[in-house]
Amino acid sequence: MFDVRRLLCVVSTTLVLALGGCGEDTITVKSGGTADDGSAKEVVATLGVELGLWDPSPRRGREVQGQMTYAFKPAPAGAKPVEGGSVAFGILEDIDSFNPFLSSSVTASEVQDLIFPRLMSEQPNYYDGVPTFDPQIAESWVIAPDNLSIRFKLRACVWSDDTPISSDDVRFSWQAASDPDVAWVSSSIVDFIRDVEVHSPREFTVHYTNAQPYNLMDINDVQIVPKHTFGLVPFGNWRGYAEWSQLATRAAGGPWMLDKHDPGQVIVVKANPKYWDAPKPYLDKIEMKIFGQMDSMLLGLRAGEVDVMTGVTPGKAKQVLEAEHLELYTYVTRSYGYLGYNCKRAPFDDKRVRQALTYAINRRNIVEAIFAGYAEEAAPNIIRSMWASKRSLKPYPYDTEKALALLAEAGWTQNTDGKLVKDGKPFTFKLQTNSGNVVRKQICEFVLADLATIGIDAEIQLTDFNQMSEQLKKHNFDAYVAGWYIATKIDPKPTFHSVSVDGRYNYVNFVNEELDQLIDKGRVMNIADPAIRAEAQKVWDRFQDILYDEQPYTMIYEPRGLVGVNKRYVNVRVTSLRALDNVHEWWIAK
Amino acid sequence: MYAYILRRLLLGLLIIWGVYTITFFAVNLAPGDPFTAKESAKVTEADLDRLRAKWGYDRSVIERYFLHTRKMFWADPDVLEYEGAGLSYEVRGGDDGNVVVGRVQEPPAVIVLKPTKESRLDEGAEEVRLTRGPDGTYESKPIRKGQYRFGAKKLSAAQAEVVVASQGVVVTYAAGQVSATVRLAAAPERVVLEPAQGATAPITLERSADGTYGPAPIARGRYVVAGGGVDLLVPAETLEAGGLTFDLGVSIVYNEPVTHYLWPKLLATMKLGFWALFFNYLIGIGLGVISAVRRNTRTDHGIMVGAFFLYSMPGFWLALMMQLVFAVHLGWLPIHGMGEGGFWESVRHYIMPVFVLGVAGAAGTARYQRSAVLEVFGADFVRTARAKGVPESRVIWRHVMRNSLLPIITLFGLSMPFLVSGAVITEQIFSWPGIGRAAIAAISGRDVFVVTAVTLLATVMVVIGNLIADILYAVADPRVRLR
Repeated sequence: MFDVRRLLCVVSTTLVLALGGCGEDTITVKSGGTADDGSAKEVVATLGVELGLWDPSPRRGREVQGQMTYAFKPAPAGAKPVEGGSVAFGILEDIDSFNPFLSSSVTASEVQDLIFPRLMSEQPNYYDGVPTFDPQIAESWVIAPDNLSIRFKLRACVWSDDTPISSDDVRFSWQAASDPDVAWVSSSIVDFIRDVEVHSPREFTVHYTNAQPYNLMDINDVQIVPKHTFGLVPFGNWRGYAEWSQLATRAAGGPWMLDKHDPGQVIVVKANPKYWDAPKPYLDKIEMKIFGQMDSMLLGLRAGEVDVMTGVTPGKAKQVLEAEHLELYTYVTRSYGYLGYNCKRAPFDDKRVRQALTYAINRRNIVEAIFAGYAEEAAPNIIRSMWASKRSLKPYPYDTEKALALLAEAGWTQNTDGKLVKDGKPFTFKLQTNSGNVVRKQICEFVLADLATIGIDAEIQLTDFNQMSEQLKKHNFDAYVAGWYIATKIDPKPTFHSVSVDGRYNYVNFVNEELDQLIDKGRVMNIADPAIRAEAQKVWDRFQDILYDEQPYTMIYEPRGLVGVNKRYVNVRVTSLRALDNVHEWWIAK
Repeated sequence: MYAYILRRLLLGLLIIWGVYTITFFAVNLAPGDPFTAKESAKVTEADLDRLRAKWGYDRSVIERYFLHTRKMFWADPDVLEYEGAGLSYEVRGGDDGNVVVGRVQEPPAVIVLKPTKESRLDEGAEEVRLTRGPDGTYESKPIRKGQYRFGAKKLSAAQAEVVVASQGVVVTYAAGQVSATVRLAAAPERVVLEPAQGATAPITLERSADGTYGPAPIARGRYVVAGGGVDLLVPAETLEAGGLTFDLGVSIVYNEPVTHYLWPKLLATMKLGFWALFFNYLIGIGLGVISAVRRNTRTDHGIMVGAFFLYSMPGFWLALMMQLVFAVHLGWLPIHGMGEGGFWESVRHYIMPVFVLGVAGAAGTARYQRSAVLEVFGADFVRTARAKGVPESRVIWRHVMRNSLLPIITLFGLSMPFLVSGAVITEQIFSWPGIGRAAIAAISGRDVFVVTAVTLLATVMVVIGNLIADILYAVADPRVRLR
């Protein structure tokens, strides 16, 4: 109902674990071409089709179908951008602060990204390797041969009050990000940044303590804030300071500047006339209307009160497709849902039992019925939109006979009532999930029904999210349904390494020495080098083979992100990295 | 009467304290804390632990209870601390503006390097303690690769040298050994704070016999010490000097004083609540009277069937159906929020939520009013009035109405809390920026002080509402005497 994403996402350093409805996150695809007949705007999904992620047949009505990690509707060929107009977004929670370093919500960071610049912009091409970066306020950068420093050059650009955006601002932002009094919730991002050395107003070098492949990403995760306004408040007083929206109004460096914030109601940003990439933005302003609840937001979208709604649930997609003035953008998210087993607790300490359950659960049915087809059956542990995914691993087929055979090997046989028993004891367990997540509860019900047909009596247990996380960390469970929302770098250490059993996210208590070695090796390989990358692919293939065989997780689904957009906007790109990816490039087709 | 009111108010305070205490423990003992929800791809346990410490979550619940209760009534003075070049500076508010004091920094007797949780798990890093010897230097000890914290600063054993300037100490790492030395300049005779941005006059701090510098008054603005090292920023003419206050705390999620955060939401809820109650009683009483006067006619039956219908309809369903019909299909009314701009724009935004809350409530009120009127109709004095030839309209307005309103007054008193607690679900569905929505968000985010404040507010309204109901009752019915 409220703040679903924040409530339901749990994460670690590299893996975001969505234990909840983080299914809204997205994966977008490369565009192939557009059917430009004016009605059904359909981006043909070439890469997605090749990978079997997309159905090559024509899609349902007004759907802008993405491939891989983004969905894009280009402007009609040859059309000139139109300036003016506005767009209204529906959002589910108010911004917690206009200062990026005091804020922790997903919505807030998307709003801050409109107002404050980044050095570069991360591209949603992680299906292809390490994500690449496009220049933003940094026009160029050179990585030192030892990988321990990066020298940047800023383009000549100014804050909205005409003060130049300078290297001092970058250094100041890094200081804010790492200052203990500021206590930025994500400050571990800058752990490996030793210093930001200023050479001149437009040149600086970022020094790192470690040579790791994701150094560029680390500095880019620091939003650049204006020193001449934010610096007026000492770091020690940042958390008590109440007027950040005032300061954010004074100097903006992104395409947009804050116009008005009416708490609980609306956030309005207007075009920043000093934006370096003028004449963009084409639209005059964005209104972000804060809704209390998803159902009324959808009604608002249908009534035309909002033009864009992210996180449309699969069950409601039809309502968007049926509305004449709307289009549905779809793309693959960076998340998956799974059923996890406690691998140290009987009967799940036997891999044959885990395999059998995977065979016995009709995952195709779940994907079709609960997700209305807006999800794929999952199989490899690294989801298919990541470059390292071993896409040749196919989902275990739904095969109850095979399941029963495996269970028989493990000592479980059906008695005269058709119930599975071993040494006179029936096969029963508790299946947990977090309360308040309708999709997960439905999945549990489907799983229960499937298992009942082979004689397993499971019981659903719904637990408050916080409480469930505690129990999972203590391995105090039989099995659970949850999901992970994953970062663009591949690092399964927090979820599958044996060191992560204690206190981190290896809830399933899965310990495998070879897997540990593979993770330790793979996570630090510099895959920018093609030779090393081929090597890394082998490491991750083996990693996925082990998990495919051991089945500590029954992989269930890879969901698609659904975004409803008023069809008058063109040049719209929705990505799995940022829902409001390129609003400054949108314009209204006449 | 006054003694009665006073007694009731004192009892009310006791109730409020009780509710505050129960709420505090209920919220604090629930699994999870305001920070668990912040865990994300880029937020580690260590980051969260730092936040927890900042908000007192590293102490026991009991300690926290006393800490926060004390804070509600007593504010500590606002103190700004800066340091550099071996000196620390403290700026605090006084009676006649801010005062600055400088001190020579004493190097710590023991340096504790604590590994971060990640380092502890991944690299097996362990805590290292360096003791300061009589000669003023620290011993040298072996240290494992990893990330450590020294006070609030982070250092990495992968780095060659780490300057931890905050305590005038340099920690050096080389070949698996860590060592530390004190690097303090000789204490100067005086320090001059040069005015920078916003400040006008320089401030000279002389060293006094006890080794401190100053105190000296300091105006708002930015100051630097020649030679670098210090950058003082005084944000206000007079900092909070501390003292008696009524402070409900700070919203952990929104980083804003709770009162500041809740006030506009309270107003929004009260506006909606006021109009909902207004129409509730206006329509409810009106229909109730009509129904009673025309009892057992078609009008009566029509009204009562309608009332039953609205009364038994779930509010959220009615709200969503109204949105579907009046916003999506007809396009007459807006769905989102309070609206802004002109009077009519506001009216359009109020119609649906006020209808859902007020009219559904009116259905109940009408039924109460009807039975109250019917009861009074049978009373002796009404028969007497009719018998002596008082016109029927006068009987109804003068005799029946006044007496039939007694139960409604009780009802009204009891619905006072509604003005602040509002209707959570209606606020959610109409995206009303009210207190109900804030409360839900605060509960899910474990935003302790907001939850406590909302509960307190509702308790106060219940206490006051009950009192008002009793007083009104006495006013309306001369037979009732409050003692």
